Amino acid sequence: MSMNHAEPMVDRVCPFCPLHCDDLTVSADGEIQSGGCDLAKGQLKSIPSLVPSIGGKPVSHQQAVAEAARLLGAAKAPLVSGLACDVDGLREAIAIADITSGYFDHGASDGFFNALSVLQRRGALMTTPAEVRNRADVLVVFGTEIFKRLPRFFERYVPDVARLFDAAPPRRKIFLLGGKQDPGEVPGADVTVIEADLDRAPELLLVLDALVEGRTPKVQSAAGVGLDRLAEVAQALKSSRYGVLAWEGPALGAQGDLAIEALYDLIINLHKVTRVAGLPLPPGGHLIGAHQVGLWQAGTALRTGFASGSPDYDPRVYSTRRLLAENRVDALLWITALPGPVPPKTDGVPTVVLSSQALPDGIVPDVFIPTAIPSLDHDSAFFRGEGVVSIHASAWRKQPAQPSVAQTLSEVIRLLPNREAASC
Amino acid sequence: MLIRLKGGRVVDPANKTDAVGDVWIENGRIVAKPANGAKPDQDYDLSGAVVMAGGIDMHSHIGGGKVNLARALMVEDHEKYRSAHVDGRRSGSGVSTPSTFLTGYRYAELGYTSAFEPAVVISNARHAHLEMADIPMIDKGGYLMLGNDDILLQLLASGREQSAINDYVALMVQATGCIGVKIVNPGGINAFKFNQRNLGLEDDGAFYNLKPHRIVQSLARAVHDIGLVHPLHIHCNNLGLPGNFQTTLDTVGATDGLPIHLTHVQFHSYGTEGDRHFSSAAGQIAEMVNATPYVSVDVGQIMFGQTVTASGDSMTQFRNSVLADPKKSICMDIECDGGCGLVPFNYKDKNFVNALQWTIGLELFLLVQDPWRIFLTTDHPNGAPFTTYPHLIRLLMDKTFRNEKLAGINKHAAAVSSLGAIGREYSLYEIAILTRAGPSRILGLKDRGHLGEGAAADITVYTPNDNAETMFEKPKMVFKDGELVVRDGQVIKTVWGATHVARCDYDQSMRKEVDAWFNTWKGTRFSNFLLTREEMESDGRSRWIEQALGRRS
Repeated sequence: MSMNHAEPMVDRVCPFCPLHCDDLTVSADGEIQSGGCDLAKGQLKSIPSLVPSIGGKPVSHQQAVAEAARLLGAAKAPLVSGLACDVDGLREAIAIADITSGYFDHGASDGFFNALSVLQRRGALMTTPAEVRNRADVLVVFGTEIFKRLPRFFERYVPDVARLFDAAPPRRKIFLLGGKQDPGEVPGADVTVIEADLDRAPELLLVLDALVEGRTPKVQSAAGVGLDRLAEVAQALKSSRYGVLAWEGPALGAQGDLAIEALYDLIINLHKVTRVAGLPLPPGGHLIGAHQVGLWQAGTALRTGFASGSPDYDPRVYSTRRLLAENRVDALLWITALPGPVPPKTDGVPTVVLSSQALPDGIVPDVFIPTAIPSLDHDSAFFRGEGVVSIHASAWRKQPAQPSVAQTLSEVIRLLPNREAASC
Repeated sequence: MLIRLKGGRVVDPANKTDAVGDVWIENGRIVAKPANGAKPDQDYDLSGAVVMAGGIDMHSHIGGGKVNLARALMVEDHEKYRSAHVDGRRSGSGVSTPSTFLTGYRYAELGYTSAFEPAVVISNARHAHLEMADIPMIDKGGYLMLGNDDILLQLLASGREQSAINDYVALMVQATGCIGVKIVNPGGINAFKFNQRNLGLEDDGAFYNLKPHRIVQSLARAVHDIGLVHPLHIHCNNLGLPGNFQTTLDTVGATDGLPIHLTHVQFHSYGTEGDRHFSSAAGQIAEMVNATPYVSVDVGQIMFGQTVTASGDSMTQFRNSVLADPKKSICMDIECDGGCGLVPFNYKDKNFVNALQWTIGLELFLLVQDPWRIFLTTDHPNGAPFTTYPHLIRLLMDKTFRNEKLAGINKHAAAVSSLGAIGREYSLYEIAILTRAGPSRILGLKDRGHLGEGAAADITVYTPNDNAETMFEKPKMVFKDGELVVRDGQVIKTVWGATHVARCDYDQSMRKEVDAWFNTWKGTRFSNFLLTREEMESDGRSRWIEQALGRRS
């Protein structure tokens, strides 16, 4: 063995959370030496050893692929969901939904459509992490304990380092609005935690908007937050040079769309005096990648169906949950090559699962095909959580890997009846 | 396989040909008539038909983050226009921002075999190429947007020598898999992030105190020095503002006589005359182009109807968001590289401004004399979707038709326009220059855009018709790299095109500098960002066609 093999690998990309940190140093035997977080290290330690199976009985990969193709080929309206995989896997997955006249959704897309519906009705004004890192002097976050789901969030988005436009940058003001939460110390920033009932976020944002406009709201509190605290946030935003309003879709509750619309109005209002931008906090399981690939291939977002042969977008009806509950689909293809949502229990719906994860007890799909973990096991492209930057991840695990999602699905497509030409 | 296209009227301006003759194809290439008298395996009798090289769209927003954002925004467009999967071809939706597969099918069905995405944001380059890799049928390429990126502005503001700028530009063109460089609202997108709302050519941009003049000058020099064939592709400051023709003229004066390309110049040819202080300055712009051999332009014609404007120019798009129809828009600041903005527009023929925009674009087409330096574009989708090209071609070729349409627009606009007095009608030969030979030459695509020996067999066959729109909207046949892919305006075979890229030399010390810049200021690794041939070709859909270039100085 040459010396090279013992050299640590640098600048590797982490697949385990939507920040997709790309500064990992990994030892030759696949241990994270630096750059990783506890979440990544934990995931790395718990990668299961999996075998293909049909009805729970071990089979060869080829047998599993053939059975998957048979089930999906026999279906009139299959649902392709989960969709936690790399770009190449997504391309093949959405191709299957299209050519089988099925549907596609992501397995954890609840909470995503609030922002999308506002974007489609009113618009959006957004920013990206490098802008936040170098410009943001005020950051307001609507969400709860994002630093647990995204362990390096503060370090990556608002690090205490020199900024492009400030040799001696002022301390940032960070407001965390949501449940009771303790992010610990955030270097270079003054963090104010404001406990708020985010189910009532629209109310809170309307009051914030009034305060920004200099109107006096006729209430003493909103969403459980006193007016004086909100006035403090409003003032910080008004006097910011570049304010950022970040939110976590699912945390905004049942009225999430109203909350995001109010956020948008607030951002537009603040443009009378300064620059402020929105920052949707990244959802997990490469949802943003699934959104992008679906959009470019179908022209429509997640929750699109092809029953008529052409794309039909209906974010209310074509959700994974509702399609299954209302028996609108007759097969399910579920993909979680990245840590993501576990497949739902389906009764009587033939189910094919491609996963790098062990399934919970009690879930035995008709076909199970283990997959590689993108980035770890094969070169792959990811959209980072904000959806703008996509990076190339070079593989860093040396042991024999399972086939990639793209490989398996292209084999499935070739076996679909009368669809051998349907690859483009 | 040997193919003969027999007895068509071959219109091939790059080879100064307009005559009845045969075109021979072998292994995807155009070849001489076999000396040994070999019989063709396939023989197409094209007597009466017109044979041209495949069309080349040199400026069309077909892929990347802003196009996808526009698809998400324009949910109406994608609900209204849907296309089913059929015969092994994929489904899709949209007209203004069609999904990738439809983009490829529609271009091919119009006889186009190449299209170039003109606004690749540095940090979004991989996304743009991933998307374009899913556009079948045509070759693609991208122009990298520079001139609002903090790296370049920092280099300029700190007084670095031109050679450093050259190294940076060469490195980034290569790292993003692009073929050219575009500058959008020089300095303005960056200044908007500091809450500056307007930036003229001689204004100081916020923070860096750089005048756009200086940025344009330096980038035009860099593009020239590193050897790129396509000159700096310029979207001038002050897009859409009355009186901006002066900015356009001044921009030409800012590049020290180096070649430049002014894009969607229709949006930059506005005067302030008349009661409404909005007028055509197409005459002044055309006069400048006619007198300045190193300048080329594409028009960015508008057509009446619904579309969405998708631009890197966040400063302008934020300002224009009040004009949105339907009333919604998107703006983004992007990664210390640039920005983007999406604003739906519904151009109305009875609206004075829109009607005048329509006349201004046509005036430019008709007043610029040299067809080799003006290109047929609608700045898809900003002026109109590319699917309106056949209609636009008829407007250029048919004066009677043009004047009928002129009579139907806003009366005040028609009254002040000089369009009706222009008698010029484009010939087929000139249309072939505008849509094939010219774009090929300005991009340095040596084996595309013509029908000479050795050229790639990207060929379109049209059935002549007195109505040019009918002729151009439904080609009789289209060949892509020698394969018959379209018949009677319908795709019959799906193929994957190639990607045009340029490779210029740069000093490795700049690579180290950019590596450090990414680490320090972006917190990401340049090594994970840059695109390689291996990565791009790995999906089998994006074969590289490489322009290997030498420095000019």
